[in-house]
Amino acid sequence: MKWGTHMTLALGSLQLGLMYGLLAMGVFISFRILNTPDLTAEGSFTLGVATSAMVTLTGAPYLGLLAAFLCGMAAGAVTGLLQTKVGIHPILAGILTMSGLYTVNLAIMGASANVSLIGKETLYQQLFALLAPLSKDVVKLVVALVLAALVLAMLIWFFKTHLGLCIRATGNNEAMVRSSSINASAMKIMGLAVSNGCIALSGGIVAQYQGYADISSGIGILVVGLASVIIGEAVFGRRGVTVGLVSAIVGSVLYRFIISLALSTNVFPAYFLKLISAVIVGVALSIPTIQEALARQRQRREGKRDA
Amino acid sequence: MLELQNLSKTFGKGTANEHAALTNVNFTLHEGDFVTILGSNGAGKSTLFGAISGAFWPDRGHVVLDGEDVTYQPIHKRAQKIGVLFQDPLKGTAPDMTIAENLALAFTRGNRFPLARALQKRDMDILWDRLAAFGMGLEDRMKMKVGLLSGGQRQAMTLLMATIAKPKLLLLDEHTAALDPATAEKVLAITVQTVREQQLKTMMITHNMKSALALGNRTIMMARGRIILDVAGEQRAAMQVDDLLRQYSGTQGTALDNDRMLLGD
Repeated sequence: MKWGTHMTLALGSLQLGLMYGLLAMGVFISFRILNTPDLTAEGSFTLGVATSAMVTLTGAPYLGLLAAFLCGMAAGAVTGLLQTKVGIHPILAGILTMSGLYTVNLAIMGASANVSLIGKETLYQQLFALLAPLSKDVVKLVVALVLAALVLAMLIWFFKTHLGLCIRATGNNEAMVRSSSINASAMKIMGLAVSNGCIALSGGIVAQYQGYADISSGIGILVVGLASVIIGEAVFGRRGVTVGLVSAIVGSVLYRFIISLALSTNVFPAYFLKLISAVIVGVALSIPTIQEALARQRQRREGKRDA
Repeated sequence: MLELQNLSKTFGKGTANEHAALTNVNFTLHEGDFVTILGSNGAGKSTLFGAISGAFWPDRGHVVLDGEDVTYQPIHKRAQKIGVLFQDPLKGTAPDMTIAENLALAFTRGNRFPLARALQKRDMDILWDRLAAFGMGLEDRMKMKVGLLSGGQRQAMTLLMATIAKPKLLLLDEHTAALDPATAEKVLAITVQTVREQQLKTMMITHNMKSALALGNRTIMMARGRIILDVAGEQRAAMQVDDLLRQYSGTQGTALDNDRMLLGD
């Protein structure tokens, strides 16, 4: 393979990794901060894709991103309400919202499974014209970088506010929050709203990047987010919220590198992607149990030797 | 003033496990009262606290705190006025958050603009002073995660969190029972110090009969969901542990039975 091909692959992975980094941060919020696996992600990512594409078609690509974020927040709030006010099991609550969103997403896309943005004024088209001297790849990278940095900075700030602290406490020790002056239900709803807002925003920018919206964009996306979070933690370790958010983005970029490297060397065909992601997450999450089993085995062996 | 009016609570109504935890409890806690509560297993002590703090609603009766009926108020509203400490030191703090973050949460008690910075320099100085007053050296470890602290240190933190914004009522549910004796003594000492300094209305459940008589200004004893003894003043000052035991078996016809009860030290 030529050096140029490598560069293109690396650049592509970096762009995608940063855009899906928003997804990874959203998943980090639900999975690590709120301590609940939230399946709404599958629906809210597509919701972001659909909203962003349809608003872009009306000629307002930036508004499309904002709309994606707000719609994602609403979807997260619905899951939160189902969890707290009606008392539905967190996983089931996410599945319900996700299923319902399938219809909502189709309705947004005018009952068609695919909407093309080719030749339309996406924010990339506008910026290509505006920043004409720069190559398209550089512009794409700058967009991804700026968006990821902006959202990262806002989330870091948010989780240092009083509200952010209350949300973190709710995920960390619900028993404490339940008997304190913090409204635990409201905090869960708020946390899930912010999480899904980020996930939908990720879908929103991806739609404009790839130039189309597809109803099945969200399938398996939660696992992609989880894999990114876990890869990030493998590099940075599990530390505070700020480090966690940064490591989610880095994890997302690494994930894209790994995938594109594997695809380009023909280790496996493209349709293997979801299985590989699932295996990464499955293995990473079973490491503590495996370590424990190994320690027990060692202990037994030493015990036998002493006897 | 805290008034409990005709409080009744039955658990598992209509089942084989039906248990009348509280039966027509009437009780008034005056300003500055520090009452210690004794009782056998299942006497209704913790149920009483649950009804006051809002963990559940009583079947009948009212809880009136400083003139306001809080019987059916949600916990998070009530928690702004009532501080509660449980036996389990892990229950009152968030382990993955720092000492400073935990204290900041309690300090503002939800009365701050939600998007204001949580850790403000001005607050931190106050929190530092309050923590230093406990003499446990925690004030120099503000950025440490609470999960790394010992049970006694975490319970001291919980006490500070419950009292940092002065509550109208402090409920202590055997809050030193899970600690080793030396630590328990230390935590009890800072509890007494805090209650005295802030003039807090306090109710403390204890299984230590001697400290029940030594601490505070009033002692009540519960059995089968009722208050069977309420002593204060000279009558209480003259009382010994033996008198309490005699009182109990005199009214109940059985010996006081609590598997954790300590008669002396």
